[in-house]
Amino acid sequence: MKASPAMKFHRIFSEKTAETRSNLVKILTAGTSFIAFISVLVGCLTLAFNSIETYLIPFFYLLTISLAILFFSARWYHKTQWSILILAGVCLLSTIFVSSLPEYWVGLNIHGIIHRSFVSGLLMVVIAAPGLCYSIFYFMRATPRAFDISHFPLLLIPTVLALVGFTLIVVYIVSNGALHLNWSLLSTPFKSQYRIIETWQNGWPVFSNQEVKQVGMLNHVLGTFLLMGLTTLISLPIGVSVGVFVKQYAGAKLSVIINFSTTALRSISGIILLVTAMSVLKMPASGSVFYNFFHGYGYDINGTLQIGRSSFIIASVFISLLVIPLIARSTLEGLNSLPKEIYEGSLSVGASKEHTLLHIQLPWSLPNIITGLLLGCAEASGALTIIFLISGSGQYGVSPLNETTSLAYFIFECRYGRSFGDTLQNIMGSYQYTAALMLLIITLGLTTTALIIKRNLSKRYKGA
Amino acid sequence: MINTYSPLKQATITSIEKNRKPGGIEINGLDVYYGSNQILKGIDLVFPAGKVTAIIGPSGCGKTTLLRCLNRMSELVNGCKVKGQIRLDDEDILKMDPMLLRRRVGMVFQKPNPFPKSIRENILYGVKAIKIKCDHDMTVKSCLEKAALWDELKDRLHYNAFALSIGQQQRLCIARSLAVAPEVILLDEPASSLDPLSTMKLEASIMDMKGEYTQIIVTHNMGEALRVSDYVVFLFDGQLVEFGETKTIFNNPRRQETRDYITGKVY
Amino acid sequence: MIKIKSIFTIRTVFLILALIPVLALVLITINLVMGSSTAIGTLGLKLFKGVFAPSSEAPPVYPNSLAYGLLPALWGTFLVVSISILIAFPVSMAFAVLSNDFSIGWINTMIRGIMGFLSGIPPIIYAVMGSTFFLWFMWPKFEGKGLPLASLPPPNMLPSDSSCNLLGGIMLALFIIPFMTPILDDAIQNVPNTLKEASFALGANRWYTLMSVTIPYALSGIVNALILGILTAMGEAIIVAFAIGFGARTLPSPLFDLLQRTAPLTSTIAGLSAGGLTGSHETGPIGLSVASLMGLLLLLVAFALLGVSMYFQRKFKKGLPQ
Repeated sequence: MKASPAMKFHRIFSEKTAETRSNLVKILTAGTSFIAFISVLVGCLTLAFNSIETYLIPFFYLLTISLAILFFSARWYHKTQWSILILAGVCLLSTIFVSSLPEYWVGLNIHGIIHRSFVSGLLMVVIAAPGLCYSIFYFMRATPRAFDISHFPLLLIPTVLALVGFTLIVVYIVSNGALHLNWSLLSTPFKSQYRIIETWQNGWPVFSNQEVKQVGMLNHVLGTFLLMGLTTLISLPIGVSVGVFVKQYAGAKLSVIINFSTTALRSISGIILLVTAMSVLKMPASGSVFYNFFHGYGYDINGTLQIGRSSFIIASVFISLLVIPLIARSTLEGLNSLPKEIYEGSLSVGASKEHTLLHIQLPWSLPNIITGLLLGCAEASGALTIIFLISGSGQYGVSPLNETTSLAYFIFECRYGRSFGDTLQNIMGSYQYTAALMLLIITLGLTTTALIIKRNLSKRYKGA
Repeated sequence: MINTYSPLKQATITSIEKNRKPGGIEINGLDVYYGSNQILKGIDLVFPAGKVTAIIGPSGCGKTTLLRCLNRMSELVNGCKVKGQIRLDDEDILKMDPMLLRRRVGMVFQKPNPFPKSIRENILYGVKAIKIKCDHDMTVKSCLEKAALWDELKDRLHYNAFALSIGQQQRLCIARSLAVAPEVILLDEPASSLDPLSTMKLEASIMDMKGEYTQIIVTHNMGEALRVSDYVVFLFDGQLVEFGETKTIFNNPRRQETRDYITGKVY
Repeated sequence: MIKIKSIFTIRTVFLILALIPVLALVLITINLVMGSSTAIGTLGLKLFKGVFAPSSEAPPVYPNSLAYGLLPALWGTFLVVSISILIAFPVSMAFAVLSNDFSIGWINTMIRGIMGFLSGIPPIIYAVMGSTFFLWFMWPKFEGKGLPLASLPPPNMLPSDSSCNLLGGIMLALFIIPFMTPILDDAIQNVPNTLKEASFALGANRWYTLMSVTIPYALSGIVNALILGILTAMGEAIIVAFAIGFGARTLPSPLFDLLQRTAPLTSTIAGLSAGGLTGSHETGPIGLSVASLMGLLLLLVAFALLGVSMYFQRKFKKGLPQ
């Protein structure tokens, strides 16, 4: 039976309608995704800046309308998705809520004052993000692959926000620091005159009032490098021994104990190491031989002996407690990466285990050890938590027996130091960014070198 | 948060099962590249519906690649380009949504890979993933029966799947892929990790599923191809050398390469 | 003979050097215990008061009127750590999932490279940023600029001129993210490909595979990363010191007030040890001993969490309950 003209017409008509309908739905969902995307952006900006808040309210209305349209487009596609309608309802409610808020929201048991933008920006991001996901899902015809792709924004939004935060940090420090970065600043030692208006507490200089004579960063820079060097000297043998011992010689129990201790040393707070350092520093009696040695001493222009808070050696000892686990872990990784065939090959020629250790295993793990060392140096230069109460300005010389100083301490002093009635923040507050920039350059340079070495390690052995 | 789209709108497993028939696959001019290497060159093939087809050939000739193209698992490798046409019952596979395709074309891998969950959860995984309504107990029972595991495991459904022997794990993987009611099942050297007794049980399952499912099996084992398959495809160096019924290929191969391979002559 | 001697020496050398960290840890613990004995002895249960006011302890101040309650500092630690973990953990998971399951090759390398690069930034930088730059973003929201004087809340409800708990939490979160992301990344990367392939072959999409196969398998690694993140957040002194200050005084009056400044344990210890960095009082022996006690608390919590993490890793190795 031939298809009657009426049936043909009906078929063509419904196909055309279906086609127009699907095109219409496509346009509508594309529009909704666009609006939702812009809303997310504006919401994030509102969280940062107050003034954008006025532009936010119309977006709330737009978003409600587009979510309602999305609900109907979804209905044409597929079964009714009530969650979109609920989302649209929530959006409408928050629009009404936000537009009825005064500009500053006072009272409300959260410490008094909140600007409306904080609330509205937060609400906007929270509502627009699922809206964006839904609209992309229906734009792509609601297949399982569309489900994956439409949930991408949920992953992207926190990631992008975090990356923006990090970029801001780096850019701000670089731009502010570079303003004052010049050779004279770096090469001038910091000189200040200590006035003896100090508070002593159990033989401990606690609050020193000083008069800044000359601003410079030289001693701090040299001090940072000295700290790195001393920490390397102390922590390298110990770290490598821990790694070697755990791999080669230790039984199960002993290796658990050593593993736990080394991980614990890294997980306990730096403040605990500081407290221990301070009690160690109180150990030698006031006049004894070791007192100067522990506390760091130097001679000023007049030749008088000035006792500081802590010498470099003691500070390095405590910083190396933090660095040892890094080196130990890297050594262990390196030793584990040696292929068993090479190790057995060495033994089968008649070499002793110790000989293999010194001549095959340790040289193989050398790049790993160097990586750990570089990371440890980066830690040492940035380790303020352990030394910030036991450092000084290093103006009497920078050598292992002098008082500890470091770039990180310079930054701390810029914020909290005092100079004879004025705060150091006012005198040299702008130099804290330069010091931060120098510190960033040192630590990031070390870390990047370590990472590059680590990446090239994997190309080492391409055996059978 | 969002229900995944199913083309069979309010389907249940029973309704899928009723409407399901084993699908035939037709390949036209297939070229597959990994980066700049061409792995498959101009393949034209038909896999008849409801029958078992074996793909044989030396190592590295592209058997596994061909198999993985059929359910678009080849796309998971970076740099893989597929050109040509593959049709499943007149629908172009390469234009479908891959996940919808994989519900219709299931796969059993070379090394058994059960999930670290209970046996019951393993079987119901596919069903729950695509959110199709079904009677869970009935599904588990029928799948395990088809894979000849029901009598052994009916009291142990809550056991961890890793506690089974390798042969049982492989049959569990077959049962798992049956749970979503596919039309085609791809088997990639399923018996290569198994001992002879488990292989026998596996082959018995494959024979039982003939007629209900289209099965495509890649194998190194000539005996297995002979015992189990209805049709044989011989691939060499990425090209289709010969295709025909099993009896014809094994008794009277037309091409010299096929004859050499079957009789075990070293290349 | 010579061979036996040299074996003995090399092994002993390694043994002695390797035991130094253990020795150091033991000595630190003993030092803290001995240091806190005075506090526990004199103050006893008064340590659980909610007021913390270090004062000069010269006589005639008797222990009864000393106020060294630990609760404000403990609450400060809890607040700051929970804010930072609540922010940092989802973001780190998003980074790890993004670089493993959801994207193209070059994005993975880029994310890993960026995180490795950022992990070298020392905490002092975050501290400086927290107390200057980020403050400029947050501050206009809470300072009530332009409001007439009459409608302002009473002075003790107004934010003070430096910073608040929320900001300390955010900076701490930024510090922890490059630390936690590589660990999480590793854990998710170690899920074997065959499991994921099996899931795809059954028609599941990427999100379902992630939720039901990848994450349960990598759970022990994820918990390990979480615990290490908590420990790092708890132990950070410089960031919270710059952002919040050096000594909690009382528990905040709406308890969860994020806009006040409740100093955590670490900066309170610093404040006590320095004898009042921002004040000018001297800390007496009881105050120093309270500092040791707080350090001991931090140490014990660190040990406990590490123990839990090691137990969890042993029990749920490779995603199989054993």
